[in-house]
Amino acid sequence: MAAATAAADAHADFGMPERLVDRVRAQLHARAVLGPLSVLVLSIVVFAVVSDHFFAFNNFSLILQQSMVVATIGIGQTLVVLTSGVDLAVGSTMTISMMAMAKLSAGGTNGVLALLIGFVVGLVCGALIGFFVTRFRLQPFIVTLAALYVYKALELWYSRSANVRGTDISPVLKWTGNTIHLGTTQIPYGAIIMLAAFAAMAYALRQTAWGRHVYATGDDRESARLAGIRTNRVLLSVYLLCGLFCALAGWILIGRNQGGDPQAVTKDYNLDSIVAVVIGGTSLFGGRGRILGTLIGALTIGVFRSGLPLAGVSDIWKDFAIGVLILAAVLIDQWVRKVAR
Amino acid sequence: MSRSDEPQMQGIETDTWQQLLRRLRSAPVLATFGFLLALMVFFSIKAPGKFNTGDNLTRLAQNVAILTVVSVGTTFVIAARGIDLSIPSGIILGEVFAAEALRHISVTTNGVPGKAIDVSARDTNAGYILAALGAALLAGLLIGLLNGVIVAYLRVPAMIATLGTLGAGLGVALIIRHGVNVASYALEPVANAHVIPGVTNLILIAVVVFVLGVVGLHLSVFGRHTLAIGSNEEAARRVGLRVQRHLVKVYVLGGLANGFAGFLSLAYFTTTSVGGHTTDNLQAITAVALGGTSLFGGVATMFGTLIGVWIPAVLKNGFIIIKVNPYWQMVAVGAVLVLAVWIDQLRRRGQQR
Repeated sequence: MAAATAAADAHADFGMPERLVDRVRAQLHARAVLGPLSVLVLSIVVFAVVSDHFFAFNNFSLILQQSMVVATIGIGQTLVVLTSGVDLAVGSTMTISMMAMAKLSAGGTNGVLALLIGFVVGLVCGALIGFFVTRFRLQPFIVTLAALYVYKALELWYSRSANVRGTDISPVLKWTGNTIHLGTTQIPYGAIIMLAAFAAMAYALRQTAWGRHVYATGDDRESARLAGIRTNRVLLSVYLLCGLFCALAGWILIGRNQGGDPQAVTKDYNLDSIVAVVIGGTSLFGGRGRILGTLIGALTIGVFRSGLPLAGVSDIWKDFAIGVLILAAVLIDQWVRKVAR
Repeated sequence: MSRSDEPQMQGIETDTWQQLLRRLRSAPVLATFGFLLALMVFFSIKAPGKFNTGDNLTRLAQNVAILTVVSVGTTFVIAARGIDLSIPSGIILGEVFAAEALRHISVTTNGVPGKAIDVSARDTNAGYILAALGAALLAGLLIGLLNGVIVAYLRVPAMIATLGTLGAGLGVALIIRHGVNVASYALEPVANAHVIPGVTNLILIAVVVFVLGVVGLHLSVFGRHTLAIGSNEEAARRVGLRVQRHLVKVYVLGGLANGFAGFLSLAYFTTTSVGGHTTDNLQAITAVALGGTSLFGGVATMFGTLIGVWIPAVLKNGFIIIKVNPYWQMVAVGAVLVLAVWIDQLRRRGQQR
């Protein structure tokens, strides 16, 4: 027991290793968010040096607006990934919730009621996935792949692939796109909601029993169950929350687009949200990661998308850069984790 | 130890046909095949003279040919308990490499100097086609090798590794082509000409690739090792398989299939498709899973994959013909997918008891 404690202590401060590299590695290992954060800061510094227009509050506001939808979906995706699952249906869930809100509102339903129904749609989408994952013990990858098809089809059928004009929609739904002014910088309410959601989930994951259960279930479902955690309930709650955050992202997207766009389903929200989670340092094996890492990951993607064109690099390098970013992130993660072995 | 193993190993080698039959019986491939047949009968009754015509079925076969090639490769990857999300980048890099190869071959047609990429389908020759094929396979090889090394030696989860190479590969394709597609008729005979009357070469090639896939997965040592690794990596290591090296080979095989699909795509559509093929990865994985190959690795059937490629295609085609909103195709595919995997799950649980 004493030996174990000693080992844990050595783990924490590592008794000042000789080489600088080892010290950096030990620090990165002890603080999970440090790695992604340093990548974000580094990329901001590089782009600020290369481009005159990058380091401006207006540009940061733009990056925040461009990242807020993926970041909000990323909250749900992080929860699912923490339980060693993956959700390929987040884009479809978001779009179907969003179109429910927009179409109902355009059809004369009270804005708040339309919003609530949209959230219920998101919850139902999540509940169905959770039901199949827990009840039939199917792999999340397959269930959500199937859900991707089904929700996408239902969404396109329900919306008839037609846009809902912003002028037809209640201001309640478009409110997320309104901005508050901080000096000359505009911050949309959607971004504030997104940041608040991150704060709430960061608290829930770190400070509540439920949060510990999520980590434990993701780390080893069977051990968690034997330890008395109702793993099925934890998993179901995770998929419900994921559906909820997708609906929230849908609300934010209405504000950003000032309308309902049924083709949002064809955009790459699924992979983008997974990329944000991965760059944020959450392990796809489950049980390890920080929700704030996902925020940093989403912002890093936003910084690259905004920074590359401003630095005079052609838009076509974007995909390449983000691919390399993912590989770099996981390779650094592998290297850092060698401390633990 | 090794001596006592020998007779058994020989038994496996000689009884390959029996093995094959037993494997077929143990896989739910018959159920999915029955489902596909039922679908075809249903659409034939609902739309007689429209669905069940030779023309329509040939067109279907042509439409699924490229996905078949990709799915054959994906079956190996999933059999080894891997996953390959980088399929679109393999295909598009294959197209782009092939186009670049054609762009760099100088030709003189009717006394006018030009490049091979601009020659018409009539003036093309085997040399150009082989150069393009080589380039496309090289592209697939590079992506596959990268995937394999990252997954097997750097121990990165396959999903992230191939997600990274997906972005990086698509990016490289865009960079090479400056985001602009290029047309070429030089490869057209590969896909659209006939060696056998009535069957386009594209269909013939897909059939050949599929047969090679069956042999490779079910009748060769390579396939056996792939399944062994997919079923239990540690056990495979302990009986002496070089797991890491084999995994690299599997990902290279997947990459080659994707590169080859890119070559076929350029031949069939006579243009590169930078920005296209984006959902081919999920389509291929869906086909493989529909067919009864387990995403947990170790259980795979190439016949199932073929059926899994056809079910969504038949549903879509049939729904359009009988004027049902084709969106329902996606709903049906989703439902069948869950059902197929659930059956696989039940079977596995039964085996564990």
